[in-house]
Amino acid sequence: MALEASAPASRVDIIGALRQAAITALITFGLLLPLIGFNTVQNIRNEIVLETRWPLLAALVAIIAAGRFLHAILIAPWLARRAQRQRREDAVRTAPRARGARWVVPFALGFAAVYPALALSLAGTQGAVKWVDNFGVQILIYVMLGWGLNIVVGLAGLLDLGYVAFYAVGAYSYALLANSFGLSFWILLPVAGCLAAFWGILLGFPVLRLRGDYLAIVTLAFGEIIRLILINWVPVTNGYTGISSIPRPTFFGIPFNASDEGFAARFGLEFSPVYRTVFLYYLILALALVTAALTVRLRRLPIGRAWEALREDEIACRSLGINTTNTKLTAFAMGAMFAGFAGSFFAARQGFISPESFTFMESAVIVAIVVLGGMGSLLGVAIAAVIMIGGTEIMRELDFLKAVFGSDFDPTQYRMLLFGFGMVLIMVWRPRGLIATREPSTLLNASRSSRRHEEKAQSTRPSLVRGRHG
Amino acid sequence: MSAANHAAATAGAAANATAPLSSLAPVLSVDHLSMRFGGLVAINDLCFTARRGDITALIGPNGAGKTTVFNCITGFYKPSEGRIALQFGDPGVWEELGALTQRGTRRASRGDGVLFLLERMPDYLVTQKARVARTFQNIRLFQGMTVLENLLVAQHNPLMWASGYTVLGALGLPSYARAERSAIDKARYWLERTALSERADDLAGELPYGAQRRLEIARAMCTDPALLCLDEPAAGLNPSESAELGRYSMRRRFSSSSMT
Repeated sequence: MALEASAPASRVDIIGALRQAAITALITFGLLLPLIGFNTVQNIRNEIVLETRWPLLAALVAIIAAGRFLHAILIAPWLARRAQRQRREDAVRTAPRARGARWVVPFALGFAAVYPALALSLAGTQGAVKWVDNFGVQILIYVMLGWGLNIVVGLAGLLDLGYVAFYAVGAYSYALLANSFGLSFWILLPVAGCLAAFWGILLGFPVLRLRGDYLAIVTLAFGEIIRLILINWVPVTNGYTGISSIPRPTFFGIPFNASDEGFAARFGLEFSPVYRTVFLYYLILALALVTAALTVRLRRLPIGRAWEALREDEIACRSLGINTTNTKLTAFAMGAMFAGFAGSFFAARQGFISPESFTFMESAVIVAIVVLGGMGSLLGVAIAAVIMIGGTEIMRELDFLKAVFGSDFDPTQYRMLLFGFGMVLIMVWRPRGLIATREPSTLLNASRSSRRHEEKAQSTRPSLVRGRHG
Repeated sequence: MSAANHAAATAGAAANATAPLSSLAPVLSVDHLSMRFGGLVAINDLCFTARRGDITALIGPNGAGKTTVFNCITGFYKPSEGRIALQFGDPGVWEELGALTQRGTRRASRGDGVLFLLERMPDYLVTQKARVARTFQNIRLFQGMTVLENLLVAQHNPLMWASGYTVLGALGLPSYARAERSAIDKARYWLERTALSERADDLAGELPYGAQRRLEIARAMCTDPALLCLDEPAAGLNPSESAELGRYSMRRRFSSSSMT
């Protein structure tokens, strides 16, 4: 249909659009008649009375029909034209479009570094806690989780839907070990990472032979198993109640409290919870940057290339003498380790954890971040995390909408609707994620090739046309 | 050298050594190889040898089981019966063959000669330890990676060793940087020999079909093989492209077994 509409691109098919709108109106009417048209209410004598709501039904049908009409005459031809152009550009697209990214990365890093100072000066010490914690720390946790999962999904091509399990392992490792042995955050951070990596390998063994959908189902089940263990192993994990009073991280031994030994007193500052928040912010920023730096590094090492080769073709990998078992297990372990780090940070930041923080929904959000950002692209994943998590938090702030829609309107209830809508838009507009280009890990001749890529962008078209017709 | 051609319902493989007799000992010896998939006999009692420096061709009609033989040699299939022995270094090690077969292990050595029983090895070890490289009938390149990266993935094992199984490499030790430079030099050498230097930084999937075939051979050569198995190397090429490919293969004089 889209193609037909675009073929005589100059003329808009009004009759066809009207017909489509009429059909849509009919379907909508049929669907909404029982749902909206009739309503049952209880009257004062507790009897159920049938009410009809014809004006509302008519308004909804009219809106949907008008929307379908506009889609048919405006949006569908536009999308078809776009898709055609896209197809032509796709051949050229593979050349790195790094020109924009060159200043985006330093700018983003600089902004992340000064963000707490910015929040403090703009919102004051009281208001800044919310901005640094809800936006800064929360987003960075997901950036780190996204970058960790990016190793498994983006580089090694193993779709892991149970990633939150390793996050939970990290969080519970820290909470339980810190509560029972009194060990400090800095000792338990690597311990939690190692434990999560161990569970990553444990998950890896049974799923070695699986790929694609089957792998996704098994990892999803694994995530649920971990969550159910956390709920049901009450003597250790305290079940639904969770673990509270988890020790908070200290500033190299100096606690963040109001005592004379506390951070504020030692540095001659007035006590405020904002110092701890700012410290946590820089902590997670450092952890996330370590994740990114290690990923960049590993991509240039043989193990990283083997991961990407595994994503491209497993059989060819084995024919080149690569031990695919070990390669897959290291990918699982690496990804799980970063989730373990993030998990122990999460437990230390919250001071309280329960199985409810580690539902499948979290896994789905992390996978969505990686897929929307563009698999394998660190920058894309970070942008997607900012949009998804920042978007959720922003919605809590939109109090002025209550003036428009009435006082019991809660924008966060529409979060999932907006997410779904945004995802559909991105999948239509950029099916391979926000940033779909891949930087080669090495170039034979860097200076020559960058020049050639530019030439190529201008001249070559036929590379895909000549494809494989063997 | 015996050509086994049995009239089993669908299959039967024809083996044929086209090269002139040479005094050199064989690099590969296949004895009484059979492969059955359920009731289907794909290879029935095949025996042949391939000598070092020769080009040995395995020919037969569609469905004769040529690719199955290759999959058995390279460890992708475990043969139902038979022995596949590969040797490099001192040929005297062939005398160990009987003892090795009895012993039930996969490797024997004498002096600098090494003998492997390929049917006892998992596929990746056949390439890693016994140095058998292969190409595929349907080209299997890493399409989303550049040509150069394809050749570096082929040198995974030596590079992995040089990077201290990632640990030393991640710390940025100069020894790994040196190893990677020499790996790139080797890749550059094979790119020049296959006339692909110009396209080293392009995605492998963007190359024309003939160039993809050449790249797959270059990638196999980067594993430093003692035996190179080319599965239908000329499939899908036009006459001039296959002549070109033949020239490359001849000029190279690798110890190899090739297949048409």
